[in-house]
Amino acid sequence: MKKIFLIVILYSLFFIHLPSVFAVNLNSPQYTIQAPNINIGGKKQTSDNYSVDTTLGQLAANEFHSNGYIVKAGFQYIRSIIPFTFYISKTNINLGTLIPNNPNTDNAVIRISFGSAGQYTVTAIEETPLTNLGSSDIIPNTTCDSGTPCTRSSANVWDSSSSYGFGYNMDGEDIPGDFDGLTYFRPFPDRNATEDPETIMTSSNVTLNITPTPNPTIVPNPTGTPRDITHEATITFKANVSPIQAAGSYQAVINFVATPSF
Amino acid sequence: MNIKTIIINLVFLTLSFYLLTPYSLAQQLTLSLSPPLIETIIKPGKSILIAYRLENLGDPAIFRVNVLPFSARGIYGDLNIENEFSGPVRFFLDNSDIKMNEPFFLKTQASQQLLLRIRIPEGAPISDYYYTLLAISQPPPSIDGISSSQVKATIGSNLLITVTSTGQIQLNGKISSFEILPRFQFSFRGKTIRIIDSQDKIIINSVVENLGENYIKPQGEIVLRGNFGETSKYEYVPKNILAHSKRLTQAQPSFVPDCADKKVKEQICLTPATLIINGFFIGRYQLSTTIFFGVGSPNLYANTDFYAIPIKFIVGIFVVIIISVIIVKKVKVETE
Repeated sequence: MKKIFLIVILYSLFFIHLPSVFAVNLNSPQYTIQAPNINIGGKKQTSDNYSVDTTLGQLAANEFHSNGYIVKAGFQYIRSIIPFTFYISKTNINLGTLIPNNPNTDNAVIRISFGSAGQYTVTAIEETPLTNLGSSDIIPNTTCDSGTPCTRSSANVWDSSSSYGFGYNMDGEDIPGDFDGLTYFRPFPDRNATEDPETIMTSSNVTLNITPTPNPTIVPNPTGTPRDITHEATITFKANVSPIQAAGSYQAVINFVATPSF
Repeated sequence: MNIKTIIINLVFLTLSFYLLTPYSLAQQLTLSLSPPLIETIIKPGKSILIAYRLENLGDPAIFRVNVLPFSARGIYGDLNIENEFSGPVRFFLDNSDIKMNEPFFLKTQASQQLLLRIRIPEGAPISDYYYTLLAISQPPPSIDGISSSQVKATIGSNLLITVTSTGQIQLNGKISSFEILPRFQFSFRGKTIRIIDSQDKIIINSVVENLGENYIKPQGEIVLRGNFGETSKYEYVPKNILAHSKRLTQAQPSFVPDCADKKVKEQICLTPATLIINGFFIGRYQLSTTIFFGVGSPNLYANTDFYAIPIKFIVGIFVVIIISVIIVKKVKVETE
């Protein structure tokens, strides 16, 4: 009797202290995920004495010697599945019918979402200047007003109707500091003249909080305020022709290149 | 149907088409390309396959894919993509339906997997090679009768390729500058004195130079120590510095100004900084930094100091005292 009592107590203790099994069961009426992979190591572990940033994976040295290569994709310090995205609101900039001393403008919105990129740059370059397809005459790139000259890398005031050319203004987020208002313009760099593309938007704003919002990864103690991952600016194209400019339809091709940093 | 009816219908339909069809000017492009960065260490004679995903979230468009070399431009992480291909690394697309530099169509909300094969030929020089995978949209056709500018949108993803036979990479760098932007600076007995106002933001710039043949990732921290023993630490964001180039580092958490607000025209909006510390400071402060590039690399150290004085407060008090004295004297004269 004593033995049976002892066995009952032992079994009771075993079942009482049996630890819970944290099986993850991901399902809903719409989906079921079997054997999900849960990232328990890809996070920052800190205490007063150490700080370790772990990423689960193979040992790099072993991997290199056995395979002959190691590949890492994405920025290790950014935990985001939001892709690097580039948006431009229109691909045909309508400058209309150009009348001497009457500047025409049109604009487009450029938007970047850099959830998975730590830093980005958008550059612009003129593949061809504003060219009359019939006669090969060109509308030259602007040098802005005579008293306020501008260059490819330095915007200045272009407000006079007797200052001719083709140029652009930037307004919004992450734009170069020399665009001090809507009357500030720059000429495009010209690929035909072997000029380098010019940066029109750039940001390295990962330091506010490298965890984007909405955030697909759970971070235990996020610091700072949520980072705005979408940045937007407006580019305004402007053309103004002189009375001696040959009549006709002028066309240009502008290449905008959006790249994350390295 | 007689010939008269056919002609009337034809004229009506032709006129309707030309008069009622608007120009399609509002085509928009939204592209995404992932992953945004590939870092690889690879032996000569090996080849690897990287799967990229190009998504067209805008209007239907024609694209082509190309790979071009790039180099670092300036110290702010900008890059310069070359116009022509160069270097020993060979790139191919393993897709059956898409070839490198040949156009393909992508409809709205469609994505295309790009299988990029990277091959390092036997005998390729041991070095770093930097390339950008580019997805380039075809500009729309020009419109007759008006002047216009066609937009070509290109999205890129960078590839950092280290070619090595042994797996050994060079971690060789130095701190080329570590400084703050003071409000005032002067020399006194051979020492540089830097002064900021107590309410100024501390703007710190730390530039690291890569002296080696392979890209490096600086890690470490910046430490600010006050004269009362208070200490705050800021960690570096591990950004790549390409071989034989300099880069302004970044540390966090940093103050970020609202530069889109045109009223805010501060120095911090004009040029990027490593770290901006916001707060109230008084007395002498010491700033130091420790940087390393990974296992086996030595710790690099640099430091500087500055004084924080409540200049605006002192000037304000001085002005108040002067005005008070003047008023008291005036009142005294009037009462006499």
